[in-house]
Parts: sequence; C-alpha cells; structure tokens
Amino acid sequence: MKQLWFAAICIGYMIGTTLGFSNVEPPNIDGAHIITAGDAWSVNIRIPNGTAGEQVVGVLQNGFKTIIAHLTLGTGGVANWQIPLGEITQSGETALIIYYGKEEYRQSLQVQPGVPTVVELFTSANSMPAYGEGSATIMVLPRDNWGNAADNTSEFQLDSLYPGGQHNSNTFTYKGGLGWMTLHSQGNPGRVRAALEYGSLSASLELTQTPGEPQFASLRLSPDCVFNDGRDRISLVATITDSHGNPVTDGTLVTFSWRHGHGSASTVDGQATLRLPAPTSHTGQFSYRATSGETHSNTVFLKITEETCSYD
Amino acid sequence: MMHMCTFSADHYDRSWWNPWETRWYTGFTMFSYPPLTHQLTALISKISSLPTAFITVMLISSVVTTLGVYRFSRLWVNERPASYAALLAVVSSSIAETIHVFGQLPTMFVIGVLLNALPFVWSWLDDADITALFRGGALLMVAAAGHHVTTLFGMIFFSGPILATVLLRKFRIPHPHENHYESEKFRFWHVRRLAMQRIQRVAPALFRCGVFGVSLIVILVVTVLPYWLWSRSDPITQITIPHSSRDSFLENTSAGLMFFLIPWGVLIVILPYALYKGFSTSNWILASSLALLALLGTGGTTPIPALLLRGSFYILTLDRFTFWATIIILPFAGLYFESLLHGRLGQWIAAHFGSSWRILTVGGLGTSFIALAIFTANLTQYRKFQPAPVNMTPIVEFLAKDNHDNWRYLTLGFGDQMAWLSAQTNALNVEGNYHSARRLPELTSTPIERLDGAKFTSIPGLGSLQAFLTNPQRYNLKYVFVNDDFYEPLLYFAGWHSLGQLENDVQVWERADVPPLPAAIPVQMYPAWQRLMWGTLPIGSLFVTAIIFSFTTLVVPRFNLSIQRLPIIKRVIHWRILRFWLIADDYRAPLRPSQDWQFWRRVTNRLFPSIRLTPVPRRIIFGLVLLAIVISGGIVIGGSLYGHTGSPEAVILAYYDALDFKRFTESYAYLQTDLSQDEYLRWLSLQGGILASFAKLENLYIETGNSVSDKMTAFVTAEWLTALGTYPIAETWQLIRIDGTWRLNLDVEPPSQPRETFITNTELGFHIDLPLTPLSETALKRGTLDRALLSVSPLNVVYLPEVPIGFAPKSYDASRIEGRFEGLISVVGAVTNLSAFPAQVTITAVLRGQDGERLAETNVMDVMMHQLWPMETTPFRVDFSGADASDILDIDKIASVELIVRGVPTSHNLDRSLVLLDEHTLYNAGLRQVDIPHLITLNTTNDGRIRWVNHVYLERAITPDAALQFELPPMPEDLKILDLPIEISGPRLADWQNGTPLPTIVIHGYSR
Repeated sequence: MKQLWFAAICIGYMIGTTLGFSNVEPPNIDGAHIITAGDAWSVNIRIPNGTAGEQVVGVLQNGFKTIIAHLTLGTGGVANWQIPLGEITQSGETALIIYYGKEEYRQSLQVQPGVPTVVELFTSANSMPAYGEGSATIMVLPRDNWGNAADNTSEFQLDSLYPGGQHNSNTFTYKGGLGWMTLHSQGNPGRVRAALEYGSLSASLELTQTPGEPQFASLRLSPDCVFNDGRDRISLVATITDSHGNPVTDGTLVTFSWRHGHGSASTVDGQATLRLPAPTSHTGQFSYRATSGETHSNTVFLKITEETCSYD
Repeated sequence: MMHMCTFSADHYDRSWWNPWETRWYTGFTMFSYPPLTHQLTALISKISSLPTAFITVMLISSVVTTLGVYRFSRLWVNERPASYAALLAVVSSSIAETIHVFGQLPTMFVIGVLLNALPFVWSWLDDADITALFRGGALLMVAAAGHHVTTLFGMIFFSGPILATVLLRKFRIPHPHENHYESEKFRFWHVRRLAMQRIQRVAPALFRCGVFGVSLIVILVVTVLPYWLWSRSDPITQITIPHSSRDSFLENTSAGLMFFLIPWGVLIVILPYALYKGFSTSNWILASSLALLALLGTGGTTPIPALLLRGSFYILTLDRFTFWATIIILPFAGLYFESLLHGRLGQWIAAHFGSSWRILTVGGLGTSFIALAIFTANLTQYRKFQPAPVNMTPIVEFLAKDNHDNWRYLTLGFGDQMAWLSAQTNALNVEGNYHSARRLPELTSTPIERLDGAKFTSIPGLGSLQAFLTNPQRYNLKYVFVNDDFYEPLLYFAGWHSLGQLENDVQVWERADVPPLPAAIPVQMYPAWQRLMWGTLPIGSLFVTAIIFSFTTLVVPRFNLSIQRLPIIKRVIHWRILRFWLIADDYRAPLRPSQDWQFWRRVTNRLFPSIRLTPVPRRIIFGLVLLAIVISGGIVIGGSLYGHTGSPEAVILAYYDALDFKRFTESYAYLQTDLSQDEYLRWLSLQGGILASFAKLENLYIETGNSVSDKMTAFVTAEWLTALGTYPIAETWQLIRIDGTWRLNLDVEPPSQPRETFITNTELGFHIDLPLTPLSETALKRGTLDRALLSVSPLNVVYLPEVPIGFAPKSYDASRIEGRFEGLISVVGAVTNLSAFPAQVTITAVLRGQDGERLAETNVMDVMMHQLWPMETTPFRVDFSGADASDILDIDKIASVELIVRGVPTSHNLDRSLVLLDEHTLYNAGLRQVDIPHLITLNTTNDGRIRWVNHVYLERAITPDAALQFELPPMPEDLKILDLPIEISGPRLADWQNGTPLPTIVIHGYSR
C-alpha cells in the first residue's frame, strides 16, 4: 500500500511539474507591427517572470537578410531592441523570433514598400504588325530605393505616339506591384514612341510597326527568251506587298518554282531576285512562279530557242 | 592528367573546405578522388603558380620514388645492386612516361611513398619493431591520402611478397627449444608435435601480419572515409570506357608501343634474367609478383588477364600493372648490372666473347637506358597525343565579359587542356576531365571518356556529343569553343552559329534561346564532419608522419623508450600463452635456405658450368659469331621494315593517311597520274565537302588482286568518320610498280575552267543590337528579344522498330545497364516563321505517360532548318534516341506527346543559295562555296498529313555557279504511325492555315 501511495505522489509531482512548465506565458512584444522598408524600428520585449540580467535572443528574418541581437532583460523582464534606418529593407512579411532559454516565440511583421524612386518600362515584343493587326504587352515596374515593387496603388499613364502622328494615353492594370497594358498598333509601318512621366519619374521605349503578311505578288523574268546553249543566266524578280500595298518586311522569303525545281530569295524593299542558269535540256517554253506565304504570283514564261529571239 | 591535377588543386586553392565543384559535370564532389597531391599543389601554389606547384610536387615525388626504389631493393638484394636499381629508376622509361607523357602525379607520389613504407612493414613483420609499424603506418596513411587504388593494389603486389617471404623464412627457421625427435623412433603423435612446432614458428609473424592488415584497413578507411561513403552511396554505373591498355598489343601496335614497349624499354631485355634470378633464389615470391604483373600488363594480347581479373578487366587500366612491374623488376635489374660490372655475368661474357663485348654490353645498355628515357620524356614532341597548346587568355576573357559566364560552355578539340581552362575561369563546363565523377546519363550511357575528344570514340562518342548539342537548354549550355574543324558541321546543323575566331584561332559557337544559369546552382551538401575530415586528415597525414618520424628518431632512442616496458604490455606479454603464440620469436641470424628442392639447378649447372677462362682464339670466334648474329638481326629488321613500307597495301595506307592528315603534297608522291602537282591540288580542292574537309579516316579495308606484270588492282573501302555520321567510300585503284615502287594510278581529267569568271549577286544581312536573352530576369535589366510568331502543321508520331537508338552495352556491362536499344520514335511535322524577322526556332518534343509524367524529352537535332526567314517553312523530325529513349522499355507506356515550339530573332545561318534545278541537280546561285549541302525531304500521306521527314548530306561541296547531281534517300519500309494525342504549345503560336503549301524538299548548306 505504501508503495502505491509513493507512486501516486511521484506521478502527481511529475504532472504538476510538466503543467507548471507548459504554462509559461508568451512574451509581450510592444512595437509597430507594420512598418515601411528602410525605416528604423524599435520594440520592447517583455518576458513574463523574466528577471533582470537574463539573456534573450531576437532574430528578424527580412527577405534574405537575418538580423540577430542578444538582448539583456532589464527591470520587469523587459528588453528594448532598436533597429536603425536602412536595416529592414525587404517588403513583405518578416518573421520575428524570440529565443528565451529553451523557449521560442514567433511573430510576423509587415514591411511595406517605400515610395517609388525608379520606374522601368519593358515590352513583350519590340515589333508588331501595323494597321491595327498587331499588339504588344507593355509592362511597368515602379520600385523604391530598396528595389521593392511599389504597391498596386501606383497610377501611371503611358503616352503613345504612332507613325501617323496619332496620340494615345493608356493606364496600366496592376498586380503584385507590376503594371501591364496591351498596346495595339495603329496606322502604317514605322516607329511607335511610348513614354511615361509621373512626378520626377520617367521612362520611355520604342517599338516598330512592321508591314503585314504578303498579300500581293508579281513576278518579272529577264530575259524571257534565251538560246539553248546553256550559257545564259536568267533573273527572276518578285515584288511582294502587304494588304496595304506596302513592301513586306525585309527578309521575307520568296520561293520561285518551276518544273521539278525551286529556289528561294529574300526581299529587300519588297523585291526578291534569283539568278540562275537557263535550262539547257531542250527548246520550248518554261514557266516560273513565285510564292510567299500563301500568296502566289503570276506565271512568267521563258522561251528557249535554237534561233534568234525576237524582241518586238 | 597534369591539367586535371592543376584543376583539382585550383579547387582546393579556392575553397579548401567545400568539396562540391560546380565547374564540371553540372557539379561533382571532390570526395571522388583522394586529395593529398592536389591539396599539396594548392598549398605550394600560394607562393608560386599552379603549374610551378605541380612541377614541384612531381619533382619531390620523383626523388621520393628514387629513394623508395633503393630502400625497397635493399629488402631483396645487397647494397650495390640496390644502388644500381635506384640509378636505373632515374633513367627508367616507364617513370619518364608516367611523368612526362601521362603526367600522373598521384601515381608517382604514391608509389614513392609506398616503396618507402615497405621496409618498415618488413621490419615490423620480421623483427616485431613497433617503431617500424608506426612509421610504416604513417607512410601508408600518406599513400592512402594520395591515391587509394595504388595503395590497395600495391599492397597485393608489393606488400604481398614481403608478407609471404617473411612468413616463409620464419617457417624454415627452427626455434632453439624445438625437439625434432631425430634420435627417437617415429611415432604418430610426433606429427602433431612437429606440426605445432611449425605453426609456432610462424604464429607470431602471422599475428603481426594481422596487426598490420587491420592497421592498413583502418588507415585506408579512415584517411579517406568521405570517399568510401561517397562511393557507397553513389556507385559508378556507367558503360565501360575502352582503354587501349586492354587491347591486343599485336593488333593495336600503337597501344603496344605506348603501354608495353615504351614502359618496359630496355628492362624487357633484363626480364628473363630477373625471372631466372628470382625463381632460382629465395626471392621467388617477388619474382612471381613480377611475372603476374608483367602478364597482366599485356592487356588483351592473351586471354589470361581477362580470365584472372574477370569483371575488373574492363574497369582497370592495365598499363598500371606494367608500371608496377617495371618498378618491381628494378632490384633484379640492379643485380643484373652488378653481375655485369662486377660479377659472374661480366666474367662469363669476357670469357666467352672477350672484354670488348663486356664493355660494349654495359655501354650499350647504359646508353640505351639514357637514350630511351630522354626519348620517352620528349615523346610528345615527336608524336602528338594532345592538341597543340592553346593560349587560354582570350577564352578566359571572353567568358568573363558580357555575362558570358551566366551560361555553361564546352570545349572541343582541346584535349587535357580543357582542365587548365577550367582552372582559370569561374565559368562552368558541362563536362570535365575525371570520368569517374560523371553522373549525367548522356555521358554514362556511352563509352566516351570526354566530349572534348568525342571523335576519338567514334559513333558512340559523337552520339553523346550530339545529345548535348541538341539539348543545350537542359544544361544551360550556350558557348562551344572549337579547336578542331571536325565538329563544325555538327554544330551548324544542330542549330548553332559561329561568332567568329578568337585571337588564339579558337572558334566560338553560340546557341540562341538558351536560358541562363539559375541564380542558385544546386549544391550537394555534406556533413561538416566529412568536410572537416577531408580538409584535415589527408594533408594532416604529412604532419602525422613528420611527428611520428621525429618522435621515433629523436625521442625514443634518447630516452630508450620501449612499448614493451609499459606496465600493461609488460603484464600481458608475461602470460605464457600470449608470449608463446604471438610475441616470442627467434632472432637468430636467418639460415640460408636449402636449395635441394630447386631441381632445375642441376640442369642449369650442367648447361652453364662454372666459369673458366678460355683461350683467346675461342673468344675471338665466339665474338665474331655474336657480331654476325647482331648484323643479321639488323638486316632482317631492316628488310621487314622495307616490306612493311614498300608493299602495295603500305602504299595505299600511306596515301590515305596523307589525305587524312591533309598532307596533300605528300599524297601526290604516291600517285601515277598525268596531272601536274598543281592540277592535282586544284582537283583536290574542288572535291571539297564533308569528306575532304571535316572527316577523319576511321577504318581502311584493302583487298588486293594478283600482281600481273607490275600491275595490280586493289579494292579499297575507306570508312570516313564525320561529326554527322560514318561514310564508307569504296574505290577501285589500279596500282603500277615503277622502279620497284608501287604507285596508285589516278586517271582523271584536269579540272575544268569556271563557267563565269565574275559572278554578282545581292545578299541581305541582319544585325541584332540586342541582348542575347528572351524575356527573363536578366532581360529586365537589359531589354528583351521578341518571341517569334510560329505556326506548326498537323503532326504525326512514327515508329521505326529496327533503328538503333542507343549504345547497346557489351556483355560485361549488360548486368549493370538496362535499356531498349532499338526502335526509333519520331515526331514529324513542319513549322513556318510568320514573324517580321528571321527566327531561330527550337522544337522540343516530350513523351508523356498515362499520368502525364515525363518519359523522355528532346529537341530536333539536325532534321530541320533551325533558322528561318520570314514566311519560310521547314519540315522537322524529332528523334528520340539516347539515354532518355533507352529508358522507355515499353513504348505502350507512351500516352501522349507534347511539342513545344519557340523562336527568337536571329541574324545567323540564313544562307539559302542552293537551288533545285531539277529532281536530281543542285545549283549554287550564291557567292560562296557550300561545303556541305543538306537536303530535307517531306513525305505525305494521301490525306496530306506528314508521314515522314528524311534528310541527306551530300558528300561533295558546290562552288558558286556550279551544279551537283544527287540522289534522295529512300523511304523506310517498316514505318508505323502511332496514334497518340499531340499537344502543341509555345510562347507565340498562330494556327496552321489549311492549304498552306508544304515544301516537299528544302535545301540549305554549311559554308565555312
């Protein structure tokens, strides 16, 4: 019986001790819970039942940066931690961890981005088809002194000047500090200048409006009659324009085709030229055609003769 | 090897405590190679440079080895032969080869340390000298820290004979208290007593062997413990890399020269003497070790090494055995020279042939040793094993500027120097110079040592290189530095473009649209205790050795310390049973072993009776006979050489060899032709093309007919290896013998005059003044490149069951390598560039399983035009081959296919000067020679869907205004269409317009 009483008393002590330890109150953290990036910050950490002279370790996890301080509790179990200007620089949620003895307490701190001091414009495409057939996404990224993207409250306007002199003004849509808008082409091929000004901040970029896809093709052949001795060369010249009659973009590939053969050349100012030896196999008429994309040219004919070519 | 050492030393110089090296193989651990020599080099480089430090450590190793040879030889022979042995080590061709040709610092360092440790091992085993055990252990710790394999295997071949010899000697020496019962009548229980006496003779030495063995294992394990942990957790599972040391030296005579004749050198003459001398004395166990090493060193010349080594035969480099054999033979070689200079052999020669022959033999051998050592040391000057030295500064500067080191790079044709480049830059290489550390499947699934020298491993090597060049985005590989024209075609047709030449004539090739390296590269973290061990223990072994030697040399004798006087030890050895079985030993002078059992002695004594000086005339006759033999031998060798170089086969071989190495003027000398040399050279230059300019002769098969009146027909098949495949070219040659020399009859017309002498044309060029990256974090700071607007035709997935897709492992690898090595899966289609600018197009296909998991992924290799003009269309074919595809054991597991198509602006590789005049004629309408014309053909089904895309490279170049006939490749017969859902994705895609014309054939080509 004595042993049972002894065991019960021991178990009671163990439970009491455990409960006693687990009832340690969390520290009281007295300081701003929302601050601006780059600002100074001060906080009082009060440890219930803490005694003066005890050590507390404070850790602030701000972005990739970790700030650690060994603090000494003063009267009433209070320690003061002051973080100077320019230390807490990364916006977003920041973790504050307090170590006291073997205990660990966590609390979060909100760091807001500062006032934008720099703004950048960038685009998803440097060129787009003209005549309203193309578009590009323009993005704006305002950032504060510490590189934090500004809040979504920023309001910038983009002024666009088109080749024909048209003027447009657009606003951005924001998410996570990044603003974007779709810029549509207008008018003929040429340069589009886009600029942004907001207080002392400014940024600009340029885009190119390119001609549209090939729409019209015409083919010339020179000469159109050669001897059959195989010593002549012929030139095939294709002129390719877009839907508005403007020359297609330089480099557009034109495929010249003839019976059992083909070759290609690229346009310069809308014209592509291919020079090749005249057929030597037999006399008669040979046809040539040019194709660019889905556009086909007229057919031209080359006469191969044993006699004199007559140029009427 | 030297550069690999300097690279490793550079690693320790930069980060001693961090074992992870990111500059090779997308990251590897330095735990994979014992570090002592590298760390030592790194430390010395702090006060000099890496090359100087390397030379310093090598110099120290050479001196230590010479000393070691002397000390090791003293175990087996007397002082004078041991001195000669050390002298021979200085002029040993195998050591010269190891140092000057292979630059194997760890091998040299460790063999030196090991040889110095062995006398202590002997001393411990024989005399129970505890001091020797500590000294030997310390030196073995240094050896283990330098190179574990040498220490491990060296123990078998170097330490094994020591252990066996000591035990044998102990076994033969009777103890004073033994009773042999010679005066008593033999009884059965005498056998047991006698046996126990024999056991008791060797038991203490055997115990010491055990102590030594356990100590050695502990030392080996502890000194480089992180290495063992790494090799256990990350075992090497790669296909065996062929090594010439495993070849038959009779067939591969070059390998025989490098791995047998040169290392053995003059010692091969002494080998029979060494074996005779060894097997006829108590050193027969050492001679057995020598014989075994010499046998293993013959590689695949006989099947015996493969039978003995079994699976290890295909992993080990067998030249190591020859190197060890040439070290072990040195004590016998010392004996040989002693005998020649001071002993019986010299007397015998003088007696039988005269003193002049004795002087001649000594002088000839001595001169041969020195000459061969000098020759070997300078071998790389006569025979190039490595490309010429490249000035790395322009490459280092290129990588350092404009953030070029944000991507990985690759070198081609640099040889071992690539390690030296790596040591000088922070940029990362996709490969490296230490193949045991490779883990990328593209490297481990083919028997290729390095991508840099892929052409030397033929098709498997090039297959591995193709995998890297085809999928550069997988490794963030953007730049390739090319020091060998051979690789240019592969780079060009795999979508790379040349940026031009650096000041050192190295070409820089770039691939567009490759993402830069992530900001944080994955790093394997190792526990701190392992890093601490790796950083301290190996280099600490030197300090441990210094302390032990100082203590045992200065302190122990001064204070007359003895471990046996320690109270505990004293008490222990007091116990009779321990003293009797483990400690008690006989310290009498060893008796000379009986030679009665050496029955052959009777025969040899008969054959070579004791020397008696002979009369002068007899010596003259013998001397003249010997002279005649030497002269006859010379004549036979000379005749054999002449037959080797003057036969029709030899002339054909020499002609093709001259063509292979571009010695065109020399090749003219083997011809009988009406062309003048100028006409011949012009005719050759007009051949052009991939075979003439970018090929390497892989194999030459010659079949000759009968010679009729100085004429002969030869059927020659030359297999030319190019970066794009192998081309077997069969030719029939008529050979004519003129003035006793065979010549190849070249009957061709002189090259015709050009059609026009002045050709005009216009060309359009582009320049992109923009950064190299598409929209990304980097681009935010530097502007953006547009994404090209692309349109993809309906696709098909096809299967060719018979086509090989991977390197099927040999039987000895088969147990480790599992895969499907036949059955090509391809995705075929066409893509059009609808952008306003020329675009570099990258097409990636992904095979997915039932749950959408990625089974395999690859880009188009060369079956497309990677750069497209605006409105240009190219067919394409994505081939799944290599490691990824081999892993798909059952193709029914493929549930769907994803095709990712993306493009960025480009200004490169846009030459389209080739014109299809008719179905079989190409014409060059441009201004530059097209060196390698490439035709891609497209075959459609009845309903207009693309069924197959084929391609062919023409072997001949086409000069401007010239035409060339060609034949298209046939359609494969066993082609099956797989009905799989296909999803097409990409950053900017437009729908494919029905009715868009599909080109049945597209043509482009590479112009250098």
